[in-house]
Amino acid sequence: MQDQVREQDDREKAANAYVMSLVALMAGLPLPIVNLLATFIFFMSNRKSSYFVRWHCTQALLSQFFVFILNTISFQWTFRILFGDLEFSNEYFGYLCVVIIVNVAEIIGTLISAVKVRKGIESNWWLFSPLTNLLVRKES
Amino acid sequence: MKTFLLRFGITLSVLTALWFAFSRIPAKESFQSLAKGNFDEEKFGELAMDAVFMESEELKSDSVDFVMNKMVNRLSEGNLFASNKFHIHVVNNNEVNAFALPGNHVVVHSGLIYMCDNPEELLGVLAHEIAHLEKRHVYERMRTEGMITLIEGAVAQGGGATIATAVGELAGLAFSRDQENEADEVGFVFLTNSNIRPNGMATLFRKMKEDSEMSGYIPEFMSTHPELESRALNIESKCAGLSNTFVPVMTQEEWENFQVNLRLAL
Repeated sequence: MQDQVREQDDREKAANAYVMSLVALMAGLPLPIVNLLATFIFFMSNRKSSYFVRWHCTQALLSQFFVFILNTISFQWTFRILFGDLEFSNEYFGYLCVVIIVNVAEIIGTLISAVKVRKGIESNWWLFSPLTNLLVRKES
Repeated sequence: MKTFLLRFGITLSVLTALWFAFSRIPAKESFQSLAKGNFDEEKFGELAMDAVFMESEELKSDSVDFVMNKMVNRLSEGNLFASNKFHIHVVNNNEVNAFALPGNHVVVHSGLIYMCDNPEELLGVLAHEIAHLEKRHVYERMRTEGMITLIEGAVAQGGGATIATAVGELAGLAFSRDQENEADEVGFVFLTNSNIRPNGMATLFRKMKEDSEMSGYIPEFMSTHPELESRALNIESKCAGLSNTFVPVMTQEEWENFQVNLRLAL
């Protein structure tokens, strides 16, 4: 019975890692750092948790870091166009399209992962799961 | 690690390819044409120049073409515009004036050329007017003055009195203080990028100011340029901090010969 409760608790925590990044992404727009910070804080507070929770926190953090890099570049580029020395260009427009696609994919992926993990189904991201496997050790 | 690096490489390649593909979409041009609406700048520029030439005869000679091309070529060398992008027209008019018109036309009155003691002074004016065009100040000013719709109609009809009136207004068009300052700043950068001594801008401003104080007559184009003294001071202070090696566009003798030839051409 206790194991079942613990397992439920783990699933919820792991799912929250994804939900947290998503909520922070919505709340923090257009500042790209907010979602990364939120996921990082959640990751730190769960670093003593079970392997399952730590693994999904790490995967969520890695995916947020990837998006953070892309969003920071677009944020700076936009800022310089609006207030600085750069002009709107086709390259900027192209980059913005890519960033939007990645962000939408990220949001959809995060939602799917949150739902799957909540049900106890594994959710391995094609890009980040190999690195997550390397970073997270089985023993806590 | 190998798997991750491979997948990361594939992801980056796909994203780069997508970026490249999306960059092919002419978004900038589409936004510009949306902002411009149906206004045909090129066509208006041509009609406007016809109207200018009705008022003042264009001075065309080998000497004028040579000097103007030399100056624009030199300005384009250090900057991001093609030398044939701008069309410089010298017209026979003793009024000290120069102005930019849509379609990348710059009109210079002979009176202004006579006032310039060296080529750098005229280059300062050209750089300033080109900066107005590059920053789309002329179009913006026309838009804020509510001239666009009228001109659109006149262009569609192939010219007429409206074009002549519009050109008259554009020749004495007052730019905002911000636009003038920006044209000074950008013009200054154009000059220094091309290793042209930028002091000419300041000396011409000051000379015109002194001239107007003595005669009591303020040239039309000067009256539209606010705070000439402070702008001259600003340029001079920026010049003081420069360490460029300036290369003259032409010798003083060549410049004076050009002025003489211009008078003879009349």
